[in-house]
Amino acid sequence: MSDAAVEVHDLVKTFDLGFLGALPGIGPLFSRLQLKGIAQRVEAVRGVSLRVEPGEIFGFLGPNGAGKTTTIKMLMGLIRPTSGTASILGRPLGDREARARLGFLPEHPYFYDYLKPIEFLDFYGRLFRIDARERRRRAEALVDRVGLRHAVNRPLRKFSKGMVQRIGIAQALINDPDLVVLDEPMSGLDPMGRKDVRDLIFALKEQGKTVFFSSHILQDVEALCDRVAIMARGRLRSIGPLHTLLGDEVERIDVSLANASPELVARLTPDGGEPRTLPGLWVFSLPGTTDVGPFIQGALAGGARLVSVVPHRRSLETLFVEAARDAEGDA
Amino acid sequence: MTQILAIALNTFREAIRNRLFAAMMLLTVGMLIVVAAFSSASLHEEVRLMKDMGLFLTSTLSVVIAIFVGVNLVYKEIERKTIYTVAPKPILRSQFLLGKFLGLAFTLAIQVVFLGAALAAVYGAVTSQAADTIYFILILLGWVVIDFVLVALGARPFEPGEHGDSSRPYDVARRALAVSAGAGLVAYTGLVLPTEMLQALFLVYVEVMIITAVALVFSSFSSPFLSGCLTFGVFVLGRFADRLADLNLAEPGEQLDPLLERVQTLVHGVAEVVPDLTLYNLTPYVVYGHPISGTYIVEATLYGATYAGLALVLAALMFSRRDFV
Repeated sequence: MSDAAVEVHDLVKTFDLGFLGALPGIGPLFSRLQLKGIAQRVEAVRGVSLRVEPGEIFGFLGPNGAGKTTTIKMLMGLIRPTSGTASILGRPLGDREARARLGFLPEHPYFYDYLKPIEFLDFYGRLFRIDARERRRRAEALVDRVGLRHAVNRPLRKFSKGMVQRIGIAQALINDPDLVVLDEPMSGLDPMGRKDVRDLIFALKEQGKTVFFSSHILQDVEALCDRVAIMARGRLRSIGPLHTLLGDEVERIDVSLANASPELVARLTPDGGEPRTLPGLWVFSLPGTTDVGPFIQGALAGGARLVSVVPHRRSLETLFVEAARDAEGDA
Repeated sequence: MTQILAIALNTFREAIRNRLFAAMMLLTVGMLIVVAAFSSASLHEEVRLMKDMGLFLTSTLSVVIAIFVGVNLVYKEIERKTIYTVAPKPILRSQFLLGKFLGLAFTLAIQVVFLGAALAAVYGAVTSQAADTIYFILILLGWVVIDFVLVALGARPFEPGEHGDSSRPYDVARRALAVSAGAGLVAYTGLVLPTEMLQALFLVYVEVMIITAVALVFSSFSSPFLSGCLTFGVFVLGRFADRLADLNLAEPGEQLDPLLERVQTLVHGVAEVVPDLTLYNLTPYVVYGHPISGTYIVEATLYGATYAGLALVLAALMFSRRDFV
């Protein structure tokens, strides 16, 4: 039995679209119908394999339509994989014991909007067979934890998008899970809300829990994740610790100078490339391999004042864009 | 079981808070009043006409409400994606579906009790027992007025928790009032209506349960509109199941055309598959005031329970294979 929090081997999901696709047992006949143009088949996830270690924060990235949500839905038992295997907390998909230790927030969640927060959390608590007193205690604590105390007497239909996201996170935590899967948890949140969710994810990690989350907001992923996986067009493009994926290599160095005369700028330009101008500043972008010592000495000797030297490494955004472009190239 | 009851309670709460449900109940009561008006206009046939039309309306509209609520319940969970947070919990899909069915069964029981009481009130009016009708109005008015007062004093709808708001005196009083009013309506119906009408009402409920289970089968794989049409089709065919089973297209002494023979075989096959809802139509007994034997009621109930059970198993099988995209 695997000791990974999540382990996925060669997971594939193919959708048979249209009314015919919904009919049970249509699978074998589908290829023939597809050839005749009656039906359509879409490969949403094509052979994804990954492993999430216990206690880590794992970021799952990819452009729209990459297959992230489909992969998450397969892990959550909402859709059945076409092929491949996966385990959650060392148990096969659908295992009830594993589900009892799992918390899940879907993308753009909708809830029973006629319920009030405590009623709502109590309902989910019952699904985990938590006793009444403990349900009440956890529901009250979670309402405070996600900052919804002020809305405790309001039905969910009167909640803003951000408040729905918060109560959604609360329901994912009602069973004090070992693994928390969050599909786009920052979606719809304002900067304060995003900070609260970031803090909450860190707090979960400190409690020894595993967090698996997908996001479009790369800034949050960079700030939070121990490891990331990038998907595009149904395939996994990169996976690993952020520092490994981004590497230590410096791509460029920005040198900012003040009090530089036009003559000095002209003299430095052949080496530093065309500088950018900011009020009172000249910013030279040098290739990452440049030895900046002689450049700076030359600038200082010419009467300029050195304001900053900033090395730029490969960003997650660059990695993300490259993965998306590679996928387009493969298609 | 806790989980099934949680789903059932939630389903009941959703159905009962649906305004359309209340609107359809009011519509039915309105139609019963129209029946009373028509009955009083018919010379010496008031009671017969009232029983006939009253039972027809109660059963047909109960089924229509059951179809409407039944086909929407599961579909709404998928369409509004509420199932996304329920399905990953440690609960089987079959338990989810059973919870939905039980919640709906409880909701529809309340509906049949309410409509039965309304029917009793109209019956009282038509049979010139005006006092009976006044009691019905008094129970309802008493409920509404006292509930209004309790809400004004600060009572709130059910909220869970051992030490939660549900233990506050006003909330307890509000729930006790609802239970008392329900018991009052049941007792009132039992006292006013003759035995055969009570038996007929009970079988209306069994019929409604069968139709609800059929609605769940269709809604486990298709849209509400299609499920509604298919369920209504089963209901209509079921109401004529005996005639379909006995259909004979051949003239006496004539050999049947092969095509017609196939049609006849198909119709007989359909009659075998659809529920025999003719068992639940007791109108002839009711109209002529003949009570039905207890054995018949038990057998019809067992048939209904078996059919609904099989339908639920089928619905659970289809639902467990479904992808929630």
